[in-house]
Amino acid sequence: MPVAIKENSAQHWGLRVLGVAAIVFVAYYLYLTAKPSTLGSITDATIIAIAAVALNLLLGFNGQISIGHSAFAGLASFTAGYTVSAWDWGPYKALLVGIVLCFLLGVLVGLPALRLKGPYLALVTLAVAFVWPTIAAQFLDKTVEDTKLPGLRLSPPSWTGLKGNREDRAIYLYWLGLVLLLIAYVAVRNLRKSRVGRSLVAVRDNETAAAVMGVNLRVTKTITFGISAGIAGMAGWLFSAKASTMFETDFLILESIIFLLALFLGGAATLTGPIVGAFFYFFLDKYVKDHAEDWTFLPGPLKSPAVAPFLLAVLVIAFVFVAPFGLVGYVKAQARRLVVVTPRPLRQVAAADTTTTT
Amino acid sequence: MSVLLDVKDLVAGYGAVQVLHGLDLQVQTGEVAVILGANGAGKTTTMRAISGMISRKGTIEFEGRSLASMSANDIVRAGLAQVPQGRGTFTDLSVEDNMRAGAYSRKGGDVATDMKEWYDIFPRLYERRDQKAGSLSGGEQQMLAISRALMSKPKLLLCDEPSLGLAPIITQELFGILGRLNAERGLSILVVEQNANLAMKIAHSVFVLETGTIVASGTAAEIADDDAVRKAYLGY
Amino acid sequence: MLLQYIINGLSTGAIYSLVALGLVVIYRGTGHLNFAQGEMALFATFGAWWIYDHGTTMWFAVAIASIFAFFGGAVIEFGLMRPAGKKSPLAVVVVAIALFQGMNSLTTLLYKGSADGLAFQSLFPNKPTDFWRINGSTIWKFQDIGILVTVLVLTGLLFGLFQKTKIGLAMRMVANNPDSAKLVGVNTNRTLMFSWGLSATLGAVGGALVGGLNTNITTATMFEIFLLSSAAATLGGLDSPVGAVVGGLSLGVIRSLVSNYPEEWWGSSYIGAETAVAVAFIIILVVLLVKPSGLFGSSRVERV
Repeated sequence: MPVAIKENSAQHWGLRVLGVAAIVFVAYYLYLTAKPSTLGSITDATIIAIAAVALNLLLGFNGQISIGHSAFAGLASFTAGYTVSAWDWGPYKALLVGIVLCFLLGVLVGLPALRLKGPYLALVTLAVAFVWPTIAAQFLDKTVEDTKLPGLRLSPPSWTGLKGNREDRAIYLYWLGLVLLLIAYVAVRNLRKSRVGRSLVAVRDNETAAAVMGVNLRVTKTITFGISAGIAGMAGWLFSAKASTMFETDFLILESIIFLLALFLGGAATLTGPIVGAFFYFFLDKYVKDHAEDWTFLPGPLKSPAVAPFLLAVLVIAFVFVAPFGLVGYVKAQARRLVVVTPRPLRQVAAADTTTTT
Repeated sequence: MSVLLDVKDLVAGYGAVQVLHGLDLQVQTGEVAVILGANGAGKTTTMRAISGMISRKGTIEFEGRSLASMSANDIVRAGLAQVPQGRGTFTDLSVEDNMRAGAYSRKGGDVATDMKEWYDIFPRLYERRDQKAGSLSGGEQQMLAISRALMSKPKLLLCDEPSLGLAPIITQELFGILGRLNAERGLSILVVEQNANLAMKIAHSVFVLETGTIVASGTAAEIADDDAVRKAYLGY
Repeated sequence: MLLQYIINGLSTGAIYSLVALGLVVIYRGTGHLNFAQGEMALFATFGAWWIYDHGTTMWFAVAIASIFAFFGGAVIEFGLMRPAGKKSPLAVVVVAIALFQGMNSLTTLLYKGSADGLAFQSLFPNKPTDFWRINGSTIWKFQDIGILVTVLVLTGLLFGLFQKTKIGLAMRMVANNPDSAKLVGVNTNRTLMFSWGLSATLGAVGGALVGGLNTNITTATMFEIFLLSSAAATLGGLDSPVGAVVGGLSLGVIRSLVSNYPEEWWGSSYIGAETAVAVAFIIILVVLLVKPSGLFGSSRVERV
């Protein structure tokens, strides 16, 4: 029998604090012990995680599919790369402007979503993702007159006590990535738990019914698209902050597909799913790439680092049948055997309200 | 008379919701049987359970063969044809293709001759044979749905609320045709209907369905004489 | 020149039509856009290359690959898509996207050098001298004529299948009203397996035609074809076979015109060969905004 604890009781808060403490501890421990290259990998995974969080808001909670998030990330990374190098902008100003640009482009792409359903919308986003590298190439060719853009070469601010060398830059980017991820997470979490979040889910589950209940479909769908694109822009900016040079080929559709697969692995429509999924995807991919050539159980042609995307695809398909709610959904289901959080009964809430008012 | 369809202890529902709780009914060869019942009593569920459209438990025997574990497409081949609620015509297909669709389950036989036969009974369908079924009026679509079901040469025709959404005069015409099909061709019919008065006119036996079980059954005359049932379902 | 550009565009457009027809066949049956269509075709096309490499004719290789593609498509429906469909609509999308990545990387693994390209023999004569000159000005390459005729014949057969055969009638019934299809005795599962098989076959032939046109195939070849074909299918209306054909041909022509007319003609340096696909997509987007279910698609009423 699982142990039952009440929502928001001391035990529940205890579990929450324990969880947060564990994450903070791991993050701090990695900062103390990990090599710069490992921290760099974590930052790479964080980029995917932020984009997956963005996609989760749109697909998981609002039911709109986008295969175009690579384009939003690409737009923000190019905006930063260009404004910082050509116009001498500060990198953080470029971040904010990049987010706003992505938001606007997101709203623009989301507009047809009002009229287009399911596969038609998927196709529009697919087109955006497909067109992005072409536009980026034209931009590089005609405006920058080069084949690449320089990265931001972000150096840590002086108050951090970090210097501009490689090790310290890796540490700074590591923390910066985690902070951006936290911002993205908190933004999506608060949205989800608010009244707006409930209307998002209502739209996902039944558009017409949601509209009848007074949800403004137009505003809800386009703004969600915009916010999701803006968050994806954060991921793109983080990429430009880490990269030494940027090319038109940095954000191809394949990147969008990785965001999607990471989200599904972790568990769509759960708050932590996209983050868990992104780290899982990234490091499993890396592990397979590093070790596949030594694996004797793989048949001849598959014994190559290139087997990684294949195995991950197989894993995602297996997940659909074994753990349809992703890793997070699976772990939650297992944890429910040990501990169950029971929601506060409604009457008790009402009673509490009357005691506070009287 | 022999028992054509014998349903015993039928249990069915949708997902976690059980609608039918052990339903029994029999249809004799050559008769018109009517299931009466209020909204939500489980009339359509009964039809869908018999024709294999939803999963169900219990005994369903047709000419001595068990249908309980057969899928919908095999049940048609066994000789049961259902006219679903809301008619279920293939709206994007032409009238003629709808008729052909009805003959889908048949092995051989002269489809063209049969089609002509039903066109003679429903001349309006013949006039509109090249139109899309979706462009027909409600009554015409119901005629088409019945013709389509008959194209499979069924031994038992299941009709789920044929009067739904039709004008009274069309409904009367429709029941007249069903009555004639039974009287002239000996077609056995099981019909679900809310319009009890109309259905009683062609019925031989009647089953009254209430919240998933049969609460009364008998010949049409017996049911019409039963005061309680008459007041509840026939309204006089 | 205009006529010449249109002719050039028609043959690529015909290939889009063929692959788009495959997408439409599946969409009508299931309501899903098969994201893995292009990569399934890629796999089959490399299969044809492999058979050809063992010393057969290309026609034979493509025929065998198409037959295997048919069974492959049916197996994917039976083994993956149908069980996923029982879980949720999203599960189908997930499986299709994973299948996309899986098929693509499997091709990379199985064929050495496939990422950079392997030489692919065309089904039709394609020497520089293989063309007819008509009216002294327009050039009809045998290759283009061959592709057009192949696609026309296949499209004709496909429409015949839809209209005149029992399985075609069953496919139309399942597309229009799956419940009623069951009630008249259609085995909807088997019909869907057939649809997926048919779709995979159309993709395989499309892949072989593209390979011959480019005289080479890479693991990226089919992605662009899939994009343009799904754009063509969307333009025509995803549930309309006629729409797929019209959409494919017009997309091919649009692309050819945008690519071939010089930048000055368009008055913008951003329109030209490199951006032809982008321009084609923008045109489609505009069409969709005006007609959300495509040029020939049927709009359905949704129930709450």
